[in-house]
Amino acid sequence: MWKRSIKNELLLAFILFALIPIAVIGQFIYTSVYNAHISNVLDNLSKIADKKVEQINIYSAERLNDAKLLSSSPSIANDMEQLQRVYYQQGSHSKQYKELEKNSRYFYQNMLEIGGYYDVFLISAQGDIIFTMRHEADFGTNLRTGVYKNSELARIFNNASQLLSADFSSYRYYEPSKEDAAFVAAPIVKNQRVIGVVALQVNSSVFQNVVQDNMSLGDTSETVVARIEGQQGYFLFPLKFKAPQIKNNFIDLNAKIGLPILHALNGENSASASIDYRGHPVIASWRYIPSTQMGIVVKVDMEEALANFSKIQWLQSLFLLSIFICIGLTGIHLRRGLLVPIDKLMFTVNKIANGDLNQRVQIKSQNEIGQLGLAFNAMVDKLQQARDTLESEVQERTLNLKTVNDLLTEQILKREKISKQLKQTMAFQQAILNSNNFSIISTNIEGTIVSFNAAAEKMLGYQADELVNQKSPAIFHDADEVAARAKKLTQELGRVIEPGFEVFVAKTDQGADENEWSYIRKDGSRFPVWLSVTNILNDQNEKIGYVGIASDITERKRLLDELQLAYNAIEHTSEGIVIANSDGLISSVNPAYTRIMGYERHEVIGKNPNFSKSGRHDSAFYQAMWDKIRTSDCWEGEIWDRRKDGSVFPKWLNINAIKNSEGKVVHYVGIFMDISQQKATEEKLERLAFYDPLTHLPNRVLFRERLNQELLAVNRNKCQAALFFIDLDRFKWVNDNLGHDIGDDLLIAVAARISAEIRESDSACRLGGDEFTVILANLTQTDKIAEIAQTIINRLGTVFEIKGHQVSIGGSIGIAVAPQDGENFDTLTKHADMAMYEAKNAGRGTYRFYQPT
Amino acid sequence: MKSVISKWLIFSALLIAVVVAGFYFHLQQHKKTFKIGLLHSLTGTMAASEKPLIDAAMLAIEEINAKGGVLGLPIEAVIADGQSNDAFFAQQAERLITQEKVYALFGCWTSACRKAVKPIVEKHQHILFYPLQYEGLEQSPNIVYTGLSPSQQLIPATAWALKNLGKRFYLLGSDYIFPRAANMIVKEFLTFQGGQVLKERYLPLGNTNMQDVISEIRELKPDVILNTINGDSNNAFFKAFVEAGFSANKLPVISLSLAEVELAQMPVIPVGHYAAWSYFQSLDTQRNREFVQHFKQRFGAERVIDDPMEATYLGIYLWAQAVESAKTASPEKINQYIIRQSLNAPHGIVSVDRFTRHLWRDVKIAQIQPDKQFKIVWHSDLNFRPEPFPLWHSHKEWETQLMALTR
Repeated sequence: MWKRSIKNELLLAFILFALIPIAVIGQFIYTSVYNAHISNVLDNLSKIADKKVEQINIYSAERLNDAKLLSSSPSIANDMEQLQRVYYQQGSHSKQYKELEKNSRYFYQNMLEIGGYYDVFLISAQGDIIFTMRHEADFGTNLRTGVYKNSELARIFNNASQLLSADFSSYRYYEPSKEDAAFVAAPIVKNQRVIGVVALQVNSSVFQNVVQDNMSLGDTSETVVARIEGQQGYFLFPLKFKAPQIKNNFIDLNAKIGLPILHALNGENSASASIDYRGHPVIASWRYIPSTQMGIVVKVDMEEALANFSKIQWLQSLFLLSIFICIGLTGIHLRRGLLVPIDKLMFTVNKIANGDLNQRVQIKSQNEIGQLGLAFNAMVDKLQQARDTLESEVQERTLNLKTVNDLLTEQILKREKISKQLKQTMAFQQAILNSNNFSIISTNIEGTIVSFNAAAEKMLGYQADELVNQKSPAIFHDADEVAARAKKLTQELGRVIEPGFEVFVAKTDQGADENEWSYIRKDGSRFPVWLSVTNILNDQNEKIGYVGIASDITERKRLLDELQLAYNAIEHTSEGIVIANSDGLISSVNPAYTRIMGYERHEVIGKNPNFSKSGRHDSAFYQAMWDKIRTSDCWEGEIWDRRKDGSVFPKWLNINAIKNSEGKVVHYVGIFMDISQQKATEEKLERLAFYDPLTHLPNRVLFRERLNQELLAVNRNKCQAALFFIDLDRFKWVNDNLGHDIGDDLLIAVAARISAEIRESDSACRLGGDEFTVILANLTQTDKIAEIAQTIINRLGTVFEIKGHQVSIGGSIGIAVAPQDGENFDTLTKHADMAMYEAKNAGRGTYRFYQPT
Repeated sequence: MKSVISKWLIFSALLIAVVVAGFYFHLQQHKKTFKIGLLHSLTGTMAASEKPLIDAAMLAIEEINAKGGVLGLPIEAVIADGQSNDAFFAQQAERLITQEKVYALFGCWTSACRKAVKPIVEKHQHILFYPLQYEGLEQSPNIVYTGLSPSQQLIPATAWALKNLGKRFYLLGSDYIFPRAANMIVKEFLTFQGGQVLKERYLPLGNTNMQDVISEIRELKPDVILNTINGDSNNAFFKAFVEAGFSANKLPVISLSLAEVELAQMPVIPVGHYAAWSYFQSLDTQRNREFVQHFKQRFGAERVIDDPMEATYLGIYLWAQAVESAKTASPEKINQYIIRQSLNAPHGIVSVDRFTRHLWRDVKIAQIQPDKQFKIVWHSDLNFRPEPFPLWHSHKEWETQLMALTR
């Protein structure tokens, strides 16, 4: 079963991506190289085969041409005719024939030598061989009827004579020459008659050389030529290798299908890897040669052909093998580095999981698995350690308990005996030592600390064991302080006091030496102590040591500091402070009081604070103030007071009653600020809200307020009031042409002139721009109104002198009178306004009363 | 973690498979074919003779493609109709070469057609396979003549007739270049060999009036009639000849342009008369039996095969073999490689002659049987060397004579 694990996955990946591709690529490369090599060899063999066939073709064509040329020469026709005549009439042994033959022989000898022929034949049309050079057995025989009628010579003679063709015969054994021979023949034609045939016998060795030149193809290369002989193939030349199935150079055509030579004899024309006549694997190329009806095979043994390839193949195998080994090694390395450690880890972890805490993972590398193993080991270590500790603790405890038990029993007995004696002695000492607030440290005569009580422990943070047997001054003393004290004592006592223990005890013989010292706690913090050092005397009144009793004076010092701070605050604050006693008499004032009020401290001590009252407040005010203090212990408010120089000023006063723990008032503290500046600012703000800042006349807001007040008064007192609306003529021109400064100054001057013409109880107001109003209040008679209006007009018509400019303007006044012209603000102002327009329409510089239409 | 690795593995494997498959299909799509042109008359007077040649070519192409094609690519036939018109043939040859970009042409029947196409293939340095037996006297560096040349049919047949049938010849043919050129050669040959030509008689193509011919034969009493009549006229001649009471025993006719295809259409079977070819359907060899069987399977049991068809068929094979050995199909290269080819054709071994670009072939004389097949009565032992120019005259001399003839 396929189990999904890293091991299997890696194996699968290895097979998929290494083994299979390498196998496939290896096979591919092998096949490609093999095919290329084979095809290369085949190409070479085919070229050689083609070349040989070509050579044979050309060789036979040349021989054919020789025959054709020979046959077409007129001299050969003459020779033929003469020889025939003599041969048939006188016979071949006649003198005439011999003579003719001799002449001819000379010519044909050249022919033989130049053309490389074995023999020359002149054959009569009837088929008789009437002339040869060699006079072999064939001479004089008839090729149609004689013994050699089945020879190749006879065949090509027949073709030449009957078909008038020139031919090259195939290469066969020729009995008269006792060897293989080929012939070429051509008809001799004269006067449109075939008179004979000329034939040439081809020298076998020449032909053999052409065929069997192996052109250094290789040691095992061979060129084989065969032709068909009946039902058999016949190898024309001796074979290079021996083969049992080849007898006398004959091979059975049906013997071995697929032999290259049989393919060639079958007219095929190809090349491939094959088996030769020996049954040996070869690479062969074969051709059919039509001109000689032969098959030719050029072949080389497979081993030799593949000799080079084997080397390549070997190299390639080596290469693939080395790649495979590399990948394999990588795989093994991976297995070692990854799978084996994981397996081991798994194995160990499983054991640990089953409770065996003595197992440890073996760490062989620092990689992630190593780290994992380390972590595992650490975890198991911790586990085991925890378990071991637990066990040993339990054991130890048990043992301890037993020992302690034994000791305890023994001690209890001892204790009981001693304790009675000690009890009494200790009781007194203990009382002292147990003091919580005093650190009691005793030393021997040399200054070595002998005892250190609980309070000292608590105070300094040291345990008694830490300091007992230490030499004083111990670490809880400030060395600088000790040194300073030593210096001081040296001066004081006139002898050298070393900055050591002597500092504490130099004066103890005169009684307890008390001084302030700094103690340093174990945590490094300091605190002040009051240290009293006294001698300890034994029963013989001899000094046997010292005892230092110290009390922590931190709190006391802190209170002193706070008091100092409060005093400073009071002395330096800008607020005046008055402190009075329960009877209300001044007991203290601060410098700010002196600064504000002008009185020195001694001038005011013992006085009632009301000595400086301004007189602006009535007695009820003060009564209310004191009522408030009594009920709620404090009062706050604005109060007017008088300085030493007599000036009255407002101040913001805060009075607190200070009570003691019993709730009885012990002091009154008054704290005040001079708020005269603040008041001035408030007034200014009010002015800005209700008055025109330029002319200081009431503005539109106050105008409305005042008119409304006046209308109420009119209604209340059954009197009358008049309202003027005054419009300046040409003011705009002045403003535009002489500038705003002149304009502003003009408005100020106008306001002054108007104000000058009215009573204190009347109001002149500026509503904005050059709009002025006048309220004439509390009129009992109206006849004066017109007079006042005319006066104002006259004053405004007088030339103004402003910054060197002669400015001349004028004014028109509209008048409405309450209550007849309107009882409320809106109606009255509207009517006054309408009246003013009437006045302006009437030609300026005049006034008009409102006329109801 | 585990499942992540696993998914990743599967994903990678799938990815590789997809890439490989994609690459494979990409290669498949870009596969091309080797186009070859089949140029014959599908219409007109020559259609009946030429159409079977297309079938023979298709058989060869299909057989080769079934075995994996050439150089791993299939052969694709582009068939063009010459419409029995020489000028149109030339035009179509031009089109196949320049527009269809075929690698080779297989075509033509008549010599007139071949002579029209010859300048086109020579101009383009292309290659034409011409499958008919013909009068010879021609040699082109751009034509492969897969049919019989005069040294392989005309002369051996005449020589055989001279030897076996008699010396007095009556030469009967259609009136166009092949019969006239053939008879020009035969006349000279018979003169050399002591034969006698009683009369040369030419009938217009398609002529069916045989009265004059029959009465002339009756009057001249030849030993043998050498027949080079082409096309339908053969039907009329043999009908008239048989009806006139001539028997093959007394006056044998040896035909050079009569084969199984023509015989199959004859209303009267001229039993006992002769024909000369390399190939006969009746040839009793393993190779031929297979060939005939394949053809009949493909085109019908009633169909017959003759020499020009086989010449077309083997021509395709020769070309394919040349492409394989040249490792290219460029006509220029194939013109060099084609002259080295030989193969075992249905009628026997054929080889291209490197000098003449004609085939080494054998020849057989056969007698017409009542079943419209031939019975072989004589065959050459070996293949004959192709000699387009009979060697008793120089090429120059033959060309001059041929010019005179066509003029």
